Amino acid sequence: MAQWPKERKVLGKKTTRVDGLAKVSGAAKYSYDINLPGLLYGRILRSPIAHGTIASIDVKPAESMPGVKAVIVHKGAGEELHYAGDEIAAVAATSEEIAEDAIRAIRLKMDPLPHIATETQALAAGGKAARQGKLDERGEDVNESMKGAAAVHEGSYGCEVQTHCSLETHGLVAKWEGESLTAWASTQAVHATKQGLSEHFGEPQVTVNTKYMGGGFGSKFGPDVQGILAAELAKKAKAPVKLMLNRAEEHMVAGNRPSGFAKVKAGCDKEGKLVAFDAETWGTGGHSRGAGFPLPYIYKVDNRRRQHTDLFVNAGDARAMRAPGHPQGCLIMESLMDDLCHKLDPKMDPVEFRIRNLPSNNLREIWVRELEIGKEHIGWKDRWHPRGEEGPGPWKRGLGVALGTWGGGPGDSQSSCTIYPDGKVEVRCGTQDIGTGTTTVVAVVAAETLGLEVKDITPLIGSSEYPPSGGSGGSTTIGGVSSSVAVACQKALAMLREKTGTNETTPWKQACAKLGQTPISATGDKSEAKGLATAGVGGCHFADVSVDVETGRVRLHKIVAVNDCGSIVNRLTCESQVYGGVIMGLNYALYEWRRMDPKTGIPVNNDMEFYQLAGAGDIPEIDVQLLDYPERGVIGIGEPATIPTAAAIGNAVANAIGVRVPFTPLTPKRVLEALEGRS
Amino acid sequence: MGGKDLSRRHFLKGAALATGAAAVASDALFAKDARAAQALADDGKLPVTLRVNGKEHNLRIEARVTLLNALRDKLDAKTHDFLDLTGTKKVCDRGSCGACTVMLDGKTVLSCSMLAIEAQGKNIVTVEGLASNGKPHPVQEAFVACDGLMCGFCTPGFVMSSCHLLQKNPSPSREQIRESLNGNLCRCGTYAGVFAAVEKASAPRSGGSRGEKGK
Repeated sequence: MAQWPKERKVLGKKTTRVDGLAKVSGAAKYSYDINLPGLLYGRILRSPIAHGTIASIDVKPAESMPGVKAVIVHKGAGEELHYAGDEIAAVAATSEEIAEDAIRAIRLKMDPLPHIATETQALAAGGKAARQGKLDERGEDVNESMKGAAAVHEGSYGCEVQTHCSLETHGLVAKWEGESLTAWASTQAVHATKQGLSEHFGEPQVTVNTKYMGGGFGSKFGPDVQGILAAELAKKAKAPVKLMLNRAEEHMVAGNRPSGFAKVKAGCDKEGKLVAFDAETWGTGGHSRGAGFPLPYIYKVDNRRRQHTDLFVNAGDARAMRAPGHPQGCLIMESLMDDLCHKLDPKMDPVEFRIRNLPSNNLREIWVRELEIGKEHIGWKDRWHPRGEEGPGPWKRGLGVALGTWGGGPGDSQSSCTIYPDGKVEVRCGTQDIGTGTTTVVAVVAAETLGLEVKDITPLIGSSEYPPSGGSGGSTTIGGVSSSVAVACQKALAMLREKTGTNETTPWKQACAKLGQTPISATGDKSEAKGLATAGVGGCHFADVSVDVETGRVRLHKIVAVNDCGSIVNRLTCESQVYGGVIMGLNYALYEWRRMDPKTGIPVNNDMEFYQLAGAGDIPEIDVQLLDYPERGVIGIGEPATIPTAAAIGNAVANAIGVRVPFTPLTPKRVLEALEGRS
Repeated sequence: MGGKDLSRRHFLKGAALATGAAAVASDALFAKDARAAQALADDGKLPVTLRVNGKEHNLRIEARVTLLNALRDKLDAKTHDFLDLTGTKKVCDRGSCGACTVMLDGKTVLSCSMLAIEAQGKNIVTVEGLASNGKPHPVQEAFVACDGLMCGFCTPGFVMSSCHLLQKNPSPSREQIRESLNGNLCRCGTYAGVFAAVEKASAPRSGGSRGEKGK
């Protein structure tokens, strides 16, 4: 079984990004930045209403507009559109301004159909809008088990639809040369994007380049409709086409995290151990996607029942979003755990309550350790109090905690390592750097394996021309890529030693010079290195908040994030992932909410003003305690870092004001309604 | 998305084409430039000169082109090369996120929310213009050292806002840093690294924690 070296020179230390200077100087070219001679700009005509069929469409005014080089009708008369923003037609023009004129010039008549905009409307409509899943029942009958409980709590909980809001929108630049297509795509998956384009166009030669991309969070795993349309326009216009979504489109059609709601009844014995769990859950993933999430979450309960219903509304489809399902399941479960603990005994420590319900798996001792560390850093022992802080004044202070878990095992990956006679080293891997620092990880692992410094390595990623790696999702990239890079470099090193008859005592450049004229190259596959990467992590976050009971405003003081991810490869970028995950979590707790107009079915906050994201003034003190488990192998951190934050904040708010605010985001209005007993 | 709402950009374009540049534009834009009125009638475009990072670029663009689009997408009419100043990013295009921040005569502005033609005669500095003699600006180096970036798409905007802050206030407090950067949004969540980077690049301050990430 493969192992990382016990004495680590570079692994586990802090290494600044090898592409840092390119990004801070503006030199880094993202897909949105690609300029080519003769470039045309693509724009898409979209359904202006929530549901309907096209009565008629006349694109002649667009076709005849000066500067317009191609028009494609994607959906024609009689075809049905399922949400505001659904694609109808596309144009390519010599400027973005003219492309927008052309879209406006298209004469479109729609025949509206009835629409469903909200979860409430979908539940009322029933039928195809509310698809009940298979009942999940385990253990003894829950109603019987509930009778024997020392404490029973019933509560409603939930969280709203959240959009990915990647700063670089979806899209690509498409350029044809004969039958060959090159695309610069903002994607988390160069190979899947290449495959998607290739399949659509009948297997031409396709190359996808994504050296830099401006965020994806799970929403960018293929060419999508807009990528295909861009390539179609480029083919028709015989010129390269850049088609990037604008911010409104990005919110409407480029994916979202489904909402998640639950009515839960749970009981525990006098020690606090769960004896029964009964839940009705629902949520919407838009027009055609499910809204599932794990529940119960983490804690052991043998006697359980859960009925989930997927609701369908006329809105853009959900896509995987950073730890799909887990923030929802965590929020609901951890809110319930806190409420049940309080019901059993208001003076009982919620951390102790949780420990009594942990499963006996290999993560148990990690969680216990993490909870100890978190408690220390938030000052739990001295500062936790039973619910409802006494004292004068409108600001009430409270602490909360929540646990998370994730898999994060190694994704598929291949790499190649090339050593040149002049000592230069190039490592190629067809993976992506979505902001996580993968480019630097490649250089760090290569440097460690070859006994060099990071600056001696040239990492090359983000092209479908490089050895294939999986898409960057599921927190699977670091395990797969570090494994394949380690194998490729080990093999190349062995080849070097064999060809030159040198060992590690020979200075690197001298050894390489003995290669003569010919560089050497070796490839590695992650599957050749079992043991370098594993799966399964815990994590717990603590929150310290104040709530103004007169205005309902929640103010964050501090968040302590204790996370683990096996063997840390680059501590600097790994910790940044945790800061980032915490911030995405606090956004989920307090601000983000995709709002639908219940009457028109149009989403109303497709921008970055009313779809709220925390700014510099909203960020609390964040204390990251990232644990290194070198013996566990490399595991991903991207998703576990964001799972429990919102739940911890929700619990801190309940602790502060003495009542549960059941739904996130915890807007001032919702806080006040909870205080008034109206939730 | 469909709809024939009359936007300011449409008004300027329509009015200018119909009546000539002089009817809409102020003297500052077209003073004594008869060629401009002539040029406008032909293809709806005007000659616009932008001085960016000390270099002059001669563009032929419609009046409604934003400064952001001019920097990123447009060509120099003389050299026929793209300005290719893509360091300044387009994220919301509606003045809400700060990614398009540039400096105009020493003050930060949102380039998506002004017309290129309004920037004529001014000194424009973009993120590409911060380095001197091939050496990155200390703020840029601090961002890399403190990992105040992840995907990097918000980073040029943050760098510009940070540079502007330090020009006005070389030793800002943590609170002043937060307030100054409130107009820049980051989705990856790099704020902790950004605060640490700005403090690292600041002149020394007496007392208080400096450069501590997360505080």
